[in-house]
Parts: sequence; structure tokens; C-alpha cells
Amino acid sequence: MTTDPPPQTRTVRREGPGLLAAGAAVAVGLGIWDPHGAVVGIAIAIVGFAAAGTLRAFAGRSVRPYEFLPAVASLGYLALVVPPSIVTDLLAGVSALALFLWLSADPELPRGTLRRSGDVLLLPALGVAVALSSSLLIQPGYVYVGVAAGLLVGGLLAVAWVLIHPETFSAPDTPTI
Amino acid sequence: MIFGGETERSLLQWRPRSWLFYGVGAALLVLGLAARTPVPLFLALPFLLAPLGAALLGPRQASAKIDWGVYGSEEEVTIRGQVVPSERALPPQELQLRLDRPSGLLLRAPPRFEYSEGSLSFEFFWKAHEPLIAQLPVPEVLWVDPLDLVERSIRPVAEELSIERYPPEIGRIGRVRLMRTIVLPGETRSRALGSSGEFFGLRIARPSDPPRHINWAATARSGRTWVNEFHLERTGDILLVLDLRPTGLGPEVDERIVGVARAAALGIAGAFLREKARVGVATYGEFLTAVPLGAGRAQRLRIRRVLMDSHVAPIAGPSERCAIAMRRHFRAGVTTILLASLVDEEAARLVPYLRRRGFPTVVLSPSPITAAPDPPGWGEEDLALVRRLLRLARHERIARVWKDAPVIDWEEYWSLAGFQAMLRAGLGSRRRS
Repeated sequence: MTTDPPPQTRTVRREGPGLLAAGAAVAVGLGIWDPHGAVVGIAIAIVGFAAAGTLRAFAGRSVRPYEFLPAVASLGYLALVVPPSIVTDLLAGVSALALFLWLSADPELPRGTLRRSGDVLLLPALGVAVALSSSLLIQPGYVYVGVAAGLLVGGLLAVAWVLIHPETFSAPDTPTI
Repeated sequence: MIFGGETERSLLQWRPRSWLFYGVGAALLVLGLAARTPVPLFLALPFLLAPLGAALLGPRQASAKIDWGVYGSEEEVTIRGQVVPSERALPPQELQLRLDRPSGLLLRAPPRFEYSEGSLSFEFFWKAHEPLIAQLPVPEVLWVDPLDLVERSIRPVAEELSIERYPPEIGRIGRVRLMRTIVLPGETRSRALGSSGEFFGLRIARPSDPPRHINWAATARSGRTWVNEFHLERTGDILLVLDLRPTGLGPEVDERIVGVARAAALGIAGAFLREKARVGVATYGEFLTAVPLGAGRAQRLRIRRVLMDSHVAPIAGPSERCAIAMRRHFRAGVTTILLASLVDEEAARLVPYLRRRGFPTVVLSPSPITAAPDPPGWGEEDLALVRRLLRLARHERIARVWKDAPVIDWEEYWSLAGFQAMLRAGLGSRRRS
């Protein structure tokens, strides 16, 4: 038996290019801090996101799951070379979230997927926010305290989430014979 | 069979992209730690948390009703239906359908999916390569998160479908009057009414009635269309034998030939059962499996079940064993249709054994030349020459088998015209007279 390929509904989504451009803009913001020169950083950011967009537009079905990797490669390089600061930390986290938004605007997915992606992005965004706040608000010598506090806040938020949504870990009803 | 238990849990499964996310996150984490810089960690964090965030979503227990059917005729097979989630909170946009295409069916066009307010409509466009019978399993319904990171299986509530595609001549084959093998002398009446036999009465015509059955005098008198009805006559018995022994052609070609023979056997059995004949089926690989002679819809289901389970046997049994075993299940004199490819001598030897055991046999032989794929890298001229030599060798073998039984070389799988003509000419009551 063979499984049929997913449907071919490669209609152009208006959100896709816009989100890609937004992600590229954030990456460009990160590239400005490139110690080898802003031009190099900006070029790397643009090339990475342009390659991702090109893969989505023209690559075959087998390559599509890996379409975001060029953008991740450029972001990874920039994250590695830029000097650490609160701005670069923020840009790195936000660029990943922007990339996720672009992934959810895949033209092969049904309409409304972008709207639903907010639920998935909640936890990563929360994680980035907690990490940022811990590094922003705490003195450098007390970063480990900040991380611990961040984890504590994250844990409390997770407990709150479970209390609000009790079905999250609910076991199924016992089958009756 | 209806699938779907009441308390089945929607199991979580990671999609390939989530492993990619974990890999990217881990790589960035290692790079950040190695370079002693926190920026890659901030980039890694969303990649590590996104699959977990997706895993928290999705329905824990959900079911979806699938209304679906098989459409199209002859070679065309269209599967059309819609998926309706049982829960209102589960929008159809979050669902995906996964349906395996049975072997023997080719992709005619990409599948089409349409999402509406409360349902997901789907269409699969396939093409039957050759006559086939296949059971289509209930499709998998999946909930997938927006980032394509995790999936949860949704319990489908649906019935399995069966795909049956036969050559068009099958519909008329059952009209052949078979050699009488019933104990009672003379015409044997059935209580069932049908299209031939002794006149029983009149009834209002239906759109499916052929014009030949319309009683024009009654129609002219009453102003409404009437058709004649008859007491059906049971004309005789028929026995279908499938040779499932492996040949030197290899398992793939053997299975393809058996698939075609299986479809033909079910089509022929159905056609004769519709005409109230008694039909029996025997499959022979290493040992014989038999469905004794019988009539009616239940007999068709029995035959179908046996045929669906029949595949090429791992070991070939001797021809004589088949003929001896058949006498344990069937009386001598029953008109026998042997479906065998006659690829090797042992397969050809089955025919005289059957004849000696008292089974008047007609051989319907699916040609292995049609089933075997062309060797790669050969030119057109070479292939034409090879095919010609193969045909000569096959004609020579068929000519030898003809001494014991008539043989129909079934080369064009979508046509049974030759077989139909042979049945009419040689197997009917005329042959006996």
C-alpha cells in the first residue's frame, strides 16, 4: 500500500511573505550587531530568510519540511557572533517566534492555521519572556537566582494553566465491559 | 464492519518536524554553552518549548464520523466522502485524513480536500490498473497542530469499503445456460422472480429494466409501462478453481496475476449467482481450500471472503493432489472454470488431472506476458522481438493444453469477450445436446 501525497493547494497566502519579511527584519536587527560588520550580518540574515522563502515557493514536497533550516542557520550564526546584551537576547528569541509564525502560514495548511498558532506559541513566548525578565531584572551576580525565580514563575504559570484547563492531563474514562 | 470503540484515547505522536526542532534547539544550546554566550540559548528556547506547547493542545478523546463511498466505473475509482467531528470544539480545519492506496490502484489525480463549517470533504482519484477486488481500510483521521509538530489520532467511525472492478463482459456472462448437473430431471424452478424462465406476471417497469422485458401490449392497454416477470430457472452449477501455486516469474508478477484471477473469479461467481446458479470455489496452492456449491447472497459473501484471503502460496502442491481433493468437495460433472496462468508444465498438468477426475474444464488463463514488467534498458525493437517469442512459446503450451480443455488466452485484462464467446459456444446446454 502507498499513502497518497497531501493535497496540492499551493495558493499564495498574503500573510506568508509579510511574516517572512517581519522575521527577516528581526534577523536584520540582530545582524546589525555582527562584529564583522553590519553589512555582513544583514546580508547573512537576508540570504537565510530569502533561501527559506525560495524553498517554500519552489522546492519539491520532500524538501518542504526543512524549508526553515536556512533561516535557522543564519540566525544561529548571528546569535553565536553578536555580543550578548538584552537587545540581542530579545531579538534572538523574537526572531524564532517570528519564524514559527511564518511556518504556520504554510500555503499547504488549511486556512485559519495562523490564527490557531497562537496557542502553540504561548509556551515558547512565555519561556523567552521569563528568561529575558530574569536576565534583565536581576544583577549579574544573581542570575542563577533569577533563573530559579523564572523557573518558579514558569512552574506557577504551568500549575495555573492546568487548573484552568483540567482536561490537559485528565485520564480517559475507564472502559466498561 | 464498523470501526471505533467508545473509549479509545487519542494517542500523541511526534511529527518529524518536532525532532528537527529538538535537534536545532539542542545544537544551539551546545553552541551557546561552548561559546559561553547566552544569545544562542535565547534562540534555542522557543525551539525546545514549541513541541511541548503543541503537545499540550489537541483533543484527548474525540471521534469523527466518516461518510464515504466508492464511485466511478470500470478503470476509474473515486473515493468521496466527508469527515464530521463529533465535538463542536474540534473544527475540521484541524483535521487531516490519511488513506492508504491499495496495491493495484494508481494515482489518477492528487486528492482534493475542502474544509467547510462543520466537515472536511475529501476526494481521492485513483485508477485501477487491471481488474481487482480490494478492501479499503477505514482512513486515519488525525488532529495536527498548526506548526506540524505533533499529531493525535481521532477515532474514526466508519465502515470499510470494498473496491470491485471487473471487465464489462462480466455482467452478461451469467446469462449462459450451464450444463445441467442438478439431480432433478427437467427444468428446476426457483421461487425467485427474474428476467428469464417461465412467465409469472406483470409489474410496473423500473428505470433499470431493459426494453426487451417490456410487455408492449399491456403497456398500450393501460397507458403505463409494464414488464414481464418470470420464475427463474436454475440452469446448472459452476465451479471456479484458482491456481495459487508460485511460478518462476517471481512473487510480484505471481501476485499480480492472482489479483486479476481473483477479481475475475468473484465477478464470474457474482454473475452466475445473480442468475440463481449454484457456484463453488476452490483455491489451490499447497493444499485445497473449497467453498462448496451454493447459491444466494450468503454464498457470494463466503466466496468473497475466501478469495480475499487467497494469495500466492509459498510452496506449490502437486497437480494430482488438487484433482483428488476436489472430488472430496464437489461431484463429478460440474462445469469447471480453471483460472491459471499456465506458466510452467506443472500448471498445465492440472488440466488433464481435473478432466480425468470428471470435471469438464474451461481454462481462463491470465497472460503472464501482460503482467510481467518490461526489462529496463531494452530498446523497442528488442522488446517487440522478446514479446513475440514469448507469445509463440505461450501459444505452443496453450495448444498442448487444448487437447484436454479449451483455453482462453486472457491477454487484455479489461476484456473477457473471448471467454464469453467460449462459454456461449462450448459450455451451454447446446454442447451437451
